[in-house]
Amino acid sequence: MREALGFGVLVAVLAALQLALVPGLPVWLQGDLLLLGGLLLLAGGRAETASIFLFGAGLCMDAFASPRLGLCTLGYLAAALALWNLERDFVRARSLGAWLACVLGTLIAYLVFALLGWMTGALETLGEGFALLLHRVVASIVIGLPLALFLEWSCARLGLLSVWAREVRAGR
Amino acid sequence: MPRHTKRPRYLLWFFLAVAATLVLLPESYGWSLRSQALSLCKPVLGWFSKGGDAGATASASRAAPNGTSPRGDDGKSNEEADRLRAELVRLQEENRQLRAQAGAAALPAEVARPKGASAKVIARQTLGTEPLLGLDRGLHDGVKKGDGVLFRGAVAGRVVSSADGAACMALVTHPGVTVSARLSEGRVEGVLSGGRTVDGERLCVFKAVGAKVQARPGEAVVTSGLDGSFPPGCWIGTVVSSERKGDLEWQILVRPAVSGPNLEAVFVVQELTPAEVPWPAKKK
Repeated sequence: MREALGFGVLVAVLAALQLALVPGLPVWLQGDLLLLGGLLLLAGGRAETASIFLFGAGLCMDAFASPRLGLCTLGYLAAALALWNLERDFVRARSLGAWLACVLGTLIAYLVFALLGWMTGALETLGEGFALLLHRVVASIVIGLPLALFLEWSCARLGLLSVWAREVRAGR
Repeated sequence: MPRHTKRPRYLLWFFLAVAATLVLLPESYGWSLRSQALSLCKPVLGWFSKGGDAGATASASRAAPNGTSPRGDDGKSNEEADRLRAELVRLQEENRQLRAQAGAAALPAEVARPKGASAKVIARQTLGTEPLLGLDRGLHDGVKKGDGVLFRGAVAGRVVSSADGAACMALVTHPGVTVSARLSEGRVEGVLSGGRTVDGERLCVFKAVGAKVQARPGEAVVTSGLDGSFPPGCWIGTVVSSERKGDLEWQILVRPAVSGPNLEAVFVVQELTPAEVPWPAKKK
C-alpha cells in the first residue's frame, strides 16, 4: 500500500513537472523527467516496480504529449528491457552509475521513439525524432545526476529502495 | 556480495506487448482511447486549470474589447460581423474598379477565393491544456491532415487528423501548429508557432531571422503563403512584443486573431499550391 502510494505521488509529481515546467526551460534542460525517474528506480529500486512505474509513466506521456498512443510506453519499456540486466552493476556504482543509466536509457528510449514514430507516420521526418533524441540525451546528461541524488534520497524515505540498494547505502 | 539471480521478466514482456498493441492500433482508435482516458481525468485536470470553463470565459472576455475574440454569440458581435461583411463587399468592389482603372489584370479566382469547404464545429475537447475541435468534414470532402483553417478570413489553426466523415483541428495557439508568416509592414518572413502563455493569455511566437527586425507593437502579422496551407495575406494576429534571441534570431510575441475554442463554423483551405518564392534575377 505504502509502495503504491509512493509510486502514485512520484508519477503525479514528475508528470506535473514534465508537462508544466519542462517546456518553459532552455532546450538543454528539457529532459524527460518521467523516463529518468523510471530509470533511476530501475537502478536503485526493484526492477518489477520500476517496470510498472515506466509503464504508467509511458501511458501518462502518451495521453498528454505523444504523437501516437503507445509510442512513449514502448520506448520507455525498451530502455527498461535493455537496462534490466545491468541493475546490480548500477546499484554497486551508486549515483554515478544511475546517472549513466539515465543517459543510456534515454538514448535507447528515444531511438525507439524516433524510429517507430517515423515508421508509423506519427513523426513527419526522422530528423524530427533525432532532434528530440539529442535534446533529451543532452538534458539527461545535465540533470541526470542531481535527479539521481534526489530520487535516491526520496526512494529511501518512501521505502522504495531494493534490498541491494539498501545494503549499498548501509555500507557507506 | 553474491551475484544477484536473474529475475523473471514476465511483467516487462507483458507491458511491452500491451505497448506494441497500442502502437499498432489504428490512429483514429488511438485518439478515441486517448480522449476517453482524458475525459475520465477531466475532474482532476479541471482542478488544475484555474476553474476550467470559468477561466476560459474570463480569458475570452478579456480578449473581447480589442475585437480579436471569435465569440459571436451575442447581438453586438453579430451586428459587427454583418457590418464587416458589408464593408468587405464594398472594398472588394472598390478594389475591382481601381484595378480596372489601373489596367491591372483581375486576380485569378483561386487567389481571390481559395478552394475549400465550410465546416461546422461538432466537438470540442481539451487534450491536456490544448483545445482541439472536431469538424463535420473529412476525407470524403477533401479535408486532409495539414490543411489550413480560417475563421472570418483570419487564421484559426490546422487540421491535425482526418477520418472519412470528420476531422480534428488544433488552434493556432497549439504548440504543434506552425504557419509561415510575414510582418505586414516590416515584410520580414518567418515561422509562427503556438504554445506560449503570458499572464494567462495564450500567445504565439513568430521567429524571424535578420540583422534588424523592426516589429512595432500592434503591427499586423499575416500569412506568407510559403507553406502552401494558407493563401498569402491572411491575418494571423498582432505583434505584442519583440525580443532579440541571438545574433540574427528574433522572437516576436503575437496575439492571435482567433484564440478561443468557441468557434461554430470555419473554412478549411484545400488544394493550395505554395506561393512562389521570389528568386534573384540572373546577371546578364
